[in-house]
Amino acid sequence: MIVFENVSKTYNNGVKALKDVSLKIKQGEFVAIIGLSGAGKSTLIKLVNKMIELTDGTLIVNDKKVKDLKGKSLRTFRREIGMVFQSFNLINRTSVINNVLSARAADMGFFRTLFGLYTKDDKLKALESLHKVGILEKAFIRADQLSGGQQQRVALARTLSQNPSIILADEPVASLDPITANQIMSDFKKINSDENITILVNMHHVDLALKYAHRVIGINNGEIIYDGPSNEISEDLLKKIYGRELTDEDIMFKDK
Amino acid sequence: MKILCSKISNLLKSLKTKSLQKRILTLSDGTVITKPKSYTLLYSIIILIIFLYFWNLIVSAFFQRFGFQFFISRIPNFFTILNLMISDINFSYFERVIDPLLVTIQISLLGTFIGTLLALPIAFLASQNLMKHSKIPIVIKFVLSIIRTFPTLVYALIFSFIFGFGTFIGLLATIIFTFGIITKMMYEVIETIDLGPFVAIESTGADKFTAFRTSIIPQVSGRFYSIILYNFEINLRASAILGFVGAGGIGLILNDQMSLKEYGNVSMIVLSLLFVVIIVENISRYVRGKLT
Repeated sequence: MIVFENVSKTYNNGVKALKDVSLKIKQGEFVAIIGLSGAGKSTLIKLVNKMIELTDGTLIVNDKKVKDLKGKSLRTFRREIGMVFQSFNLINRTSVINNVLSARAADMGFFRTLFGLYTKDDKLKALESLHKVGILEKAFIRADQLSGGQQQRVALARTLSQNPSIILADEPVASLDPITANQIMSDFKKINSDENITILVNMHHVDLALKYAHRVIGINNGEIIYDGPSNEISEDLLKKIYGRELTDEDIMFKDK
Repeated sequence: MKILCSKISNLLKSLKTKSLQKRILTLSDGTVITKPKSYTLLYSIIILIIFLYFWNLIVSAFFQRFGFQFFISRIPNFFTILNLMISDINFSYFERVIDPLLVTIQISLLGTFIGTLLALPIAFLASQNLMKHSKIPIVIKFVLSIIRTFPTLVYALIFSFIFGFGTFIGLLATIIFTFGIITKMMYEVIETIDLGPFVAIESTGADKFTAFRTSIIPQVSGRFYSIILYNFEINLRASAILGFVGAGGIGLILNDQMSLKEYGNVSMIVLSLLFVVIIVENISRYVRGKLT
């Protein structure tokens, strides 16, 4: 459960990224946050695991007040929250399985981490996560030899091996081609329905958001314009969220 | 005086407007764009002035005192020594070179290894990109630059005052020197890498050390190996002078034979050291090729 109560975020340079945002996301929901770049989508997502600190209001995630978390309590809290990035952020010069295992390092002791000694259990779990996203056969290949879509799958497997209750995805398909983007989104959907993991995904492309998410939150200039089921959103509302007519750029499959 | 000042300021003003006019470019459709100011010319002039000043200070001063003739007439002396070294090379002296050469290799190997172990955690703490807004990197960088001020020889000298003579002094000096250089080279590499993976591992709830070990080390290990091998090479060369202060190794016999003017033996020592350095160079090239 994620609860935003009148949350605001002002950056040091004076930019007001979020203004008085309130919303409630239940466990197991698949939520897409849409809007123009600079609307505050990224800020909203990064507040959830305290990659960014909020300025005002209260944010409660898994019954914990995010603002109070620090040091060890913050790290323990973050273990329950996976994160996927636009640029994948894999460790390029190492194998796929080591990339997945790296998410387990947070639970290991000093010496095990120092010498990279993962247990057999960890390794099996890592392989299982890779199997879930369908790239088990790439496990022992170097991560930088994979295509963009495959790399994002590895990132997804890495997040899964963390056993999260929430996955935050910051523009996960923005640097992928339409077909791969679709595949990654269906991976998210599968994970969401199979394991009841809450998924919060930021995206620019309206059609993908409406196709995969149950719920859409539209943001414009730091304010929520729409928050509701993805099948009830109207053209007018979309125009309001984007502040203009939708263009080709906002839609991934243009011929649709 | 007043007139001169106003004249100079007028000149500067006219230069300014002139350079501004030059920086404004007009496209064919009348659009105007202004190039940013460039300081390249100014910096080049400053560097040229400094260069000329130093040239005058060192080179001209030498020629004024001794004359150009003297300088030219002494050049052949260098070749006389070189000639003696080559023609008199004493291969049988190699027997006496082996032991000190092995000591030199031991000092360099152990010194590089221990220096590296010490350098790794400090390089992490000195990297501003990993430490965010902390002041620790600034302090560490300052201390490191003090450490690097002194060459290996000075450390060996200082330690010999404290602990006496011997191989151990050479090792201590090598460790400190290696630490100073390797730490700097390592944090410079770390500060240029992509932090995305580090952030990703931190987001899984890992502490900074864990994120560093799992995401940064695999990215930089190749370059770290070549830094370490390069320093091993530097240490081998430095060992040739370490002996001058009695800190053990090949420098000891080099110093002896030089003062005895036994140039044949000296050339054998230099040749042996050169041989080892070339081997290390080739190993490091091979390793670098494998890792990148």
